[in-house]
Amino acid sequence: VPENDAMDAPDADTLSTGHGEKVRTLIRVFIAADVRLYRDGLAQALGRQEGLIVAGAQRCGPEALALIAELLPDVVLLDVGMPQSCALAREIQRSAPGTSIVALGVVESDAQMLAYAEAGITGYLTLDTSLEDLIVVVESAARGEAICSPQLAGRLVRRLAALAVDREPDPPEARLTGREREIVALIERDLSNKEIANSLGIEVATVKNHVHNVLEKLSVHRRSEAIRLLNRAHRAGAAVTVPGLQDRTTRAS
Amino acid sequence: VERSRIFVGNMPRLLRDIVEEIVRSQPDMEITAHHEEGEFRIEPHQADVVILGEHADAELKIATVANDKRGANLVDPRRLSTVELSPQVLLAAIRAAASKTR
Repeated sequence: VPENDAMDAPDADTLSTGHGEKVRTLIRVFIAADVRLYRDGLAQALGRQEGLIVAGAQRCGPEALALIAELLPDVVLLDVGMPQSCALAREIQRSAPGTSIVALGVVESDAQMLAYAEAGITGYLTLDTSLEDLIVVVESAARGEAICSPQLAGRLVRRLAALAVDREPDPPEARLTGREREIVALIERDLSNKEIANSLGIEVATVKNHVHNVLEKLSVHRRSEAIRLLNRAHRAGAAVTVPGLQDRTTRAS
Repeated sequence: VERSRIFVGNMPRLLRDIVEEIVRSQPDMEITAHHEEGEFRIEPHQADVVILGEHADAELKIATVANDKRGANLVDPRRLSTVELSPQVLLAAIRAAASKTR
């Protein structure tokens, strides 16, 4: 395996259907690993697997990132034994958002696994994984699936729950467009659909559409319920941005 | 082609699989056995070359004792520290070791 190089295999990720068209069937894998025996050995082993093609192999670092951005592989196998691996994973996410990242050599500590997940890594392999299992994880990652142990899945769910507790829910009016908020403000002033249409210079049918959307977004059935819901949210302290309701736009203290 | 018999052990599963893949791709080598977990014996497998994992900082010395209790060998491993270990370097080392055992 040539070091520091993309593998020279033009059009190798396509197969002919026999009708002149080509269908992409092979999974293009890039290996970013500092240990040469892993890097070259994996390239050699994966290159022999049906359905996989090794697009490139490189040490972890800027050169790897540049190649990944250029080659846009389906999957990057990333050696996470190096301290900069999470930063590299985030950079890969930015420059090749369609590429799935599989971490190689993970240490199953809570903090480390969450750092991997937050860096956008979707597949996790310890060094005790077999080559056969590694291939299964690569194939799954290429399909956009996240492969992790039940323990990690549990940690991630707990992390999400903790984040959800810390985060205030969006105020109801945040679900509405600017025009819908204008219409809500006019409903609040007891204007009819026709009066709202005249006020905004639009058709009555358009007003009806907006009202329908407002009710649907707020999960209520009547205009009065929508107003009550929004007022309740305002009193609870949600920031209010509905034009015309400026007297209630201050956050409750 | 006379094949060198290789025993692989005492290393993480992924590394062992990679080493075995490298060895199996060679017409003059074969994996005679590998070590999974726990204690292992090399002698029954009649290996020409044994590949063992060791800690990166270790300076391993190996003494072997013949079954007839009369002979012994002190093996002084030579480090391949001048070059980064690649599949090619590993294969060259195996061939060099195998040529000495014959």
